[in-house]
Amino acid sequence: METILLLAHTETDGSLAKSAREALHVAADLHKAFAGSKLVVGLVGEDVQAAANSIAACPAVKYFGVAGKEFGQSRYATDAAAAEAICKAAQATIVVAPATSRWTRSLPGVAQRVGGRAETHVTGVSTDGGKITVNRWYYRQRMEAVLTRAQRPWFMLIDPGSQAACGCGAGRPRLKPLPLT
Amino acid sequence: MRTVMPVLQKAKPVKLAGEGLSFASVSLPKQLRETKIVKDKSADDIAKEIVEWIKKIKTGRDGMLPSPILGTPTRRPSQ
Repeated sequence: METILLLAHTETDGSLAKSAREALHVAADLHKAFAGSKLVVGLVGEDVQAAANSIAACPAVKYFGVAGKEFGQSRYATDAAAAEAICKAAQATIVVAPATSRWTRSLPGVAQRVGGRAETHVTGVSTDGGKITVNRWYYRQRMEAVLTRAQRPWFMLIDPGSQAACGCGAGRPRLKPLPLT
Repeated sequence: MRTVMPVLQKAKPVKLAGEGLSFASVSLPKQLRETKIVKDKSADDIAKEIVEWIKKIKTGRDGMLPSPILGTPTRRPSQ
């Protein structure tokens, strides 16, 4: 059974960018397509409660957060450590994240750390007969491929602007903070 | 290269860990062009068409827009 993790980082004002909501839309669609799958949200930033509140109406069952001053800005070491901790805590098999410069730099390394694979420049995710296929671009967007992978965890970095943004509403979910030393 | 090539030739072949990956299709993106070739058009008609095109930009769609000269470029995600 798939555990789908939406991995997002907050903006400097603590909010979630549109690209994060687009990735959430993909994650929620995957969750809907696979009966029995779990949707989990992982957030990284200086303070992640406001971001979690803003997407509380999404069908996620758990919220993990790595928060602190050092996670407020982009840095490979802290971003990778935070993402790795969330992936391990969530026991994610599918990780959906926006292809921001911050995640594009760090998540392929995280995939290596957790023994998974990463797909960058993903512009579409579909499910066909219980199989997940992704559309992605290669060679500086000159070739498009449709592919599937058996390895898990599978990281998908969704190109901003390629998906509709999730319009789920606000609330107050229970956020589990993950301490990192 | 003189020093690198002999070392490369001695390198042992390694099996790449590509198991579990399967490509359903690989293709070049389709180009969408709406270029038209029109001969003997008056300057007034050309000007009118350009003005209509500018009005369309102001009123409407975001992103890349069709040009009457270049046609519609393929929309691609940012690199």
